[in-house]
Amino acid sequence: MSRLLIFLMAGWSGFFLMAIELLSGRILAPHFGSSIQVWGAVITVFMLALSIGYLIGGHVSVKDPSITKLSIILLTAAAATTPAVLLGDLVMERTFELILDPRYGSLIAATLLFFVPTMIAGMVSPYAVRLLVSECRLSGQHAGSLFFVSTFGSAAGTVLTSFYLVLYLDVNQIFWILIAVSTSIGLSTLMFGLSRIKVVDLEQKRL
Amino acid sequence: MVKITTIVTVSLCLLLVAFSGTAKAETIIYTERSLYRNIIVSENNNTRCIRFSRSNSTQQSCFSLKDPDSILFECNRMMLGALYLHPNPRRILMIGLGGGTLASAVARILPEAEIDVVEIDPAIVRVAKEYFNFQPSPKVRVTVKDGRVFVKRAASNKEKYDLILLDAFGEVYIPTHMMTRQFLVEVKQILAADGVLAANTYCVGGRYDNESVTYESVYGTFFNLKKYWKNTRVIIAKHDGLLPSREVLAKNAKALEKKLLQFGVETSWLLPLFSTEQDWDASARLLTDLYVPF
Repeated sequence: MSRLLIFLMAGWSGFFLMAIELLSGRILAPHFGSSIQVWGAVITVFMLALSIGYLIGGHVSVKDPSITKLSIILLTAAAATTPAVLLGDLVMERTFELILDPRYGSLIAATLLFFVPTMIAGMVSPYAVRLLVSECRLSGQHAGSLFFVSTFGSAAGTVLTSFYLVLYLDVNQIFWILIAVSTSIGLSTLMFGLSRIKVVDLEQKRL
Repeated sequence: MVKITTIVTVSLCLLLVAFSGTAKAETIIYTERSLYRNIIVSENNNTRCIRFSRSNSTQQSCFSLKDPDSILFECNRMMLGALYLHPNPRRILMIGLGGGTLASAVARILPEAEIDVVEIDPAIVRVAKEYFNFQPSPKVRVTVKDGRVFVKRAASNKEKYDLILLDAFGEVYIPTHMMTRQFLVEVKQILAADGVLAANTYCVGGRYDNESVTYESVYGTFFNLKKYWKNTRVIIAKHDGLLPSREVLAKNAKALEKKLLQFGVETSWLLPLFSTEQDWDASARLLTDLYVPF
């Protein structure tokens, strides 16, 4: 059960990330255009944030890794996304006023709005690998299946958002739905993690 | 298995024949894969055209090698209809260069006007100069920039234009961030109090209703010029929403008749196209920065 939940979190995290990356292009376009440079800025910021997220995720997974902590990472990523929805226009307006070149404008705005949530979401994968790996011999296999699930989630997030969600919902509504799903998954796995700790405690007491 | 191979071979041959058929009729004189699209310049019966894909149906702009002045594209002729509402604009903004036909014509019709042309793709500017005789000058300035960013910046600099011509097309259609209510509000901000806006769009397809209600929400009633079989629709709107009467239009048309005729635009063709009939579904959803379902 707990393995399934770990995969669920990693897969959803991939979905969440790519849906947001895709929409961030739409969000930046009114202020910075949709030139190839703006897309370049978006991808740069997301890749950079992810790379640092991987590093931190791997680092924090060393000490007492647990499904509870992984759930908290997922919940924090969702919470860190809310400023992008609530303060997006304000941040972009200010950036537009201060920076004349739309290349650097989009780079700065994308950093301010999306760097932190992307970085936190990036922590999920390496942390999840740690939770899955039980023996060294199988570590590659576990990492492989986790990358599969999370990248498959990314593909699903991209196609569902661009092909279907944008047809019916506005960008903010899609953001709120993504945040809500993240929160529900995070809370459910958090409950599961906490209940397991209780079970383990009881068993230890019995012994 | 043999049957399938035969069918495939026969269909491939047919395809080849079909393509060689079209290739004979025209010569491709230049192709470039630019940052944003494929640019194809072709010649056929003394007509030179620029288009963004291999298919013949989506020409972006054409000009006649025999009679370079004549405007071949109906949408460009219809865009000139904006002058019936404002015969003498001093500052003009054009978004989207294409072959530069419209920009060149406007510059010749109004030699005193200052024209800003905004084009996102530097390759298009090069091709327009090289193959379509488009010549920037101190009066005709070209800026390589995203149209929306240019408009936003112009608004924050409190610039005003008497005439704005929206003609930005990507490979498929108008870029989504230049279809929204917020964009049209920004355009309105840089339009002089009696300024006129003309936008080149399509009249067939799922975007017609949404586009119409969006323009109406910002500019009120507008002139809707349509040519169904060419899938062309030009929206002509005024900042103050006060559209001139038929008489005023006819008077301005008469004054401009000689100048426009030089470019192949006849008053008897253009004037009857002016219509204010609202032939769209008024309950269609507004296009906003948050919602463009394309």
